[in-house]
Amino acid sequence: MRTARSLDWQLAAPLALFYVAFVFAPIGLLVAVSFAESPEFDTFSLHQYARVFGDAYQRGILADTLQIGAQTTAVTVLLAYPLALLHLRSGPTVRRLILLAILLPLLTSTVVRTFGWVVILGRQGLINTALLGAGLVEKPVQLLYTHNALVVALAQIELPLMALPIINALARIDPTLIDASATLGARRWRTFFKVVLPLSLPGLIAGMALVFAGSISAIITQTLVGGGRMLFMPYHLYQQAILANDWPFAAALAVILLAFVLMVVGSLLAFERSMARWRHAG
Amino acid sequence: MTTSRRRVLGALSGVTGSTAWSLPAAAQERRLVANTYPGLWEEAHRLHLLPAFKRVSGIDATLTPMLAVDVIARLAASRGTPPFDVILNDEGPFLANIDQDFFETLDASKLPNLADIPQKFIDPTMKGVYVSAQIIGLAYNPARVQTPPTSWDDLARPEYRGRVGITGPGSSLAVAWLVETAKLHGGSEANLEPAFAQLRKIMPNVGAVTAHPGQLITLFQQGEIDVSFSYLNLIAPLKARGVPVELVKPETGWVLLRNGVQIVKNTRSPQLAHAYVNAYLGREVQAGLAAAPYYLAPTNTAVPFGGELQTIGQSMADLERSVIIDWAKINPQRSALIERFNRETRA
Repeated sequence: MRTARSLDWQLAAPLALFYVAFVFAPIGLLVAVSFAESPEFDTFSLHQYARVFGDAYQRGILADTLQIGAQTTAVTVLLAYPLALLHLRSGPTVRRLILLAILLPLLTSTVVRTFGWVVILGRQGLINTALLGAGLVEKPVQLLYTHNALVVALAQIELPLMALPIINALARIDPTLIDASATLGARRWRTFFKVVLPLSLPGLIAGMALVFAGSISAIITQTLVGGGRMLFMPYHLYQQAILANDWPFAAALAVILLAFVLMVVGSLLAFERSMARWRHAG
Repeated sequence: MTTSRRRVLGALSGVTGSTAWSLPAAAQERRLVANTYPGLWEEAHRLHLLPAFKRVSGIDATLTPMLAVDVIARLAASRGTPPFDVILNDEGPFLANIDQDFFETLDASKLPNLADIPQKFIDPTMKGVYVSAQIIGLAYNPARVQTPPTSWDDLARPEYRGRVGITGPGSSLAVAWLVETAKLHGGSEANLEPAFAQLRKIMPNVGAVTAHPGQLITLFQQGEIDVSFSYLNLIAPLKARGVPVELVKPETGWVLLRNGVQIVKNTRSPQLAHAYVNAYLGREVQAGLAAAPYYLAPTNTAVPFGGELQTIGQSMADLERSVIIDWAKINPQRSALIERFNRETRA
């Protein structure tokens, strides 16, 4: 028994060392830098954190970033869940086609997909051309560089990260449970809310965590589709670190963003665990 | 006392080391890494600079497309073992970091082509030399704009509503526009307040704020914007491809943004680095970079302006009265300037 345990440690050691050297140590360094009062690193305090939380403008950037993450996550849930259900209820050919449609965008770089949205949403883009052609508008509508356009673009780009875990979770539900629910008199919606949704929760939560983290850090899409008048944490960080050379402030921004992402993802996982306990208790 | 394997290896490495040091310094130098800016800059450097450098050194230089600010960040993170031997840098980031001990002092005796470079393009401390100048003016789409802009203030004209594109404060281009606008209203590099007052006035006209100057070009192509400030070397290639776009001289004159090269401190190839810089300053490379489709104004006085550059002048001598931004005054306020710009333009 002891030998087996020591072998486990030996097997885990390389990855553990990798994480310590290349994940935890840099994060530790980042946290240390965030306490410096100035780029000269002469004194240390909570000054950089006070700069962020004591300024409505800085708080606004953080709030906008979290909001864009939450909205994108919500839209991808609404789009991906029906798609996953359709996948579950389809025959093998349609399933393969759905899976191909989900996976295909992943084979194209985010930059290309983002430029696709720039072309679609522009003044002379697909949507405006169609609207003008149909006589629905007299002059092009401003779509690019708007909040809603950014949410839609991010949702499309992040969709596979939501759809795949949900499809995986739904596929693992025993079909006899759904039949049993129907046999006991539950209608479709009741079966969905009482059986399907709770059992697919692990996949849904995993997808939400992935999409939330992905969309709030999507600097390319935020910059190209959102434009320079919308400022989110990733580009704000880049500006402070690379353009303004204010490393301590940039480090504080990074630590705060990381903390919020961990809080949101942690809350989602805690919720999923509590639901799992409730399911097993019931 | 036992003779350990480590001691033997140490002694051997000492022998081989001393042998190596007895060789001529340049013979040990086998590698040169430099950055270039992405896009046409990279193309121009691969086509003109790298072959010229190889002819004098026999070395294929490694070229990495990377913006100056990103290069500086990497130098700061690896002072002892710099990832670059020579860097291309705009004058703003160069002067902002000149006291950071990133740059080696140039050895003029190894740069014979320096003789063709005017004094105003050589850093007085010899930490760098300017190899080209980007010309900044007002850009517009002649197919959609009846009255071309003639002044930096014209971006506020009511007829341009929603059609103006500007770039963010991280770029030297935006800083140049802010400074020139401030000067029109009694301000200067030290007082940009009048520029921000004017920025508030033009915001109803602004259809796009981009992160980088290159994105403005994409927006011109897509018909997203019709008026902006821009570089000649971005506008001229676009015009050559048939896009309706023109660059005009503002009433106060063209603005020059000087691009310099510096040799990085602790480079392991100082001889090659000097050879690279010298090749860059040479007439052949400078003429290549000044020609279509690059249009980078040469600092070498022996190289005449050609093609689209001739609309600006015959040579660098004709640009004597062009505006040069005082980056020494701008750099200390760069962080505050970025934040202020963001606050003023935020939707």
